[in-house]
Amino acid sequence: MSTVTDEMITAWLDGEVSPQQREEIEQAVAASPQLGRRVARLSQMDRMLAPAYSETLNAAIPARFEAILARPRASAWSLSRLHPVFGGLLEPRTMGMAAAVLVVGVVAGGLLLSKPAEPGFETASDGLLIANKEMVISLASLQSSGAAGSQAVRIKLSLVDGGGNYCRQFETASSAGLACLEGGQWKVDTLSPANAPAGQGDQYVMADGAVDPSIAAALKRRGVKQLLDRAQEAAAIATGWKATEH
Amino acid sequence: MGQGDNKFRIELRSLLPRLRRFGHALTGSADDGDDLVQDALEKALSREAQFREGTRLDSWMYKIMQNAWIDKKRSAARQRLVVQPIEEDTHAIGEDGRESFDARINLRQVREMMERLHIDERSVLVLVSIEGQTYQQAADTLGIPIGTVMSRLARARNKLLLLLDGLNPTPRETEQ
Repeated sequence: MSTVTDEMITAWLDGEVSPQQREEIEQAVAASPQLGRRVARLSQMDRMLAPAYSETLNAAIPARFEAILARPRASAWSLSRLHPVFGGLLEPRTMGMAAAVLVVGVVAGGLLLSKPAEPGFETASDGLLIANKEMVISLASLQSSGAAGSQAVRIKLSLVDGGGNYCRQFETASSAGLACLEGGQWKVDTLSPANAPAGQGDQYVMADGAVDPSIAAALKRRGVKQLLDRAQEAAAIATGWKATEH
Repeated sequence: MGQGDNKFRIELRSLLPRLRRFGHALTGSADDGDDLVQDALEKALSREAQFREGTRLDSWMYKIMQNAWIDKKRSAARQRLVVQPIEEDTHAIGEDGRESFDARINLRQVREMMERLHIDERSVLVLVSIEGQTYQQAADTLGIPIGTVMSRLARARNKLLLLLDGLNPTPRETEQ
């Protein structure tokens, strides 16, 4: 008879064993009162876990959560509303640069929920989008406001987020978003449909620095440690976006 | 329904009680758990366009919350007492000779003991034992092999019994 392991006992308690394994384990438990008592203790301890947190489960939902869910999906945020995003980390001079650079199309409000992955992206196994090979090349090699490749990607802004990760705000013919280099992979943090065709960047509203709210929220959430100027951006591209002392 | 209502948000709202419980169990604090839920809601809405129908929304949210909590713990670099791993590999059940479950244990003690587990083990235990996920679902949620789910579960449960028996935990430099 094979040894009954902790993993086997655990799986048995959770109903995750095959009929053959179940029979084997039950025989072992029946043959050893001490093992039986141990199994009983494991089971009793496990049954106390959910009740230990039932108060939270049954409590009233805080209003702040409802407020978040009731928030409109799309509305233009002025740069003045975006100021807290930078949390005083940036000098006024840098804010001016942000105003000049943070320009994206106002979101049309439509969602990509049921559409296949956008051009330039692919869906990972966990349902999240990641940049495909062409998009990775664009994200890694283009300078801000540059455009190249079949995806016609435009990089709007490069920055270092609060966690020290490089992030790039981009737009394509059909979408605008933010991608960040995490674990050696350009991951799409947020992606929204754009309402203007590529190549019309100059026509985007700039008067009040309207910013896609999902990108603004992403920047607020991630924090912004540093906006990269062109020289810093060029250096990062040249060095392959190696981790810095940020 | 409000302006922001759609299928995604309605389902998200229905998940709130479970997300709060998950946050509480994961962080060991109802307040920290709620902060985690709030951050996850913000993140989920910012990624609303990335969500694909057919993906389990609860698992998606659990994963966002778990990753956020790990990031927070790492950045804070807080020291915390956790039980040293008993063994990394599969091993046979020991016969500890304990006569019965200690009936004096209360729910607060259970929560305190849960906090002593390593975050990776606690996450699996919460998903399976509290949230009722199958091993496969927990593996998908956390992005780990199903065998790792099993080994982490076994270690977590054994540690809880050790703690219940009053065995001294070993300081660990950082919890990651």
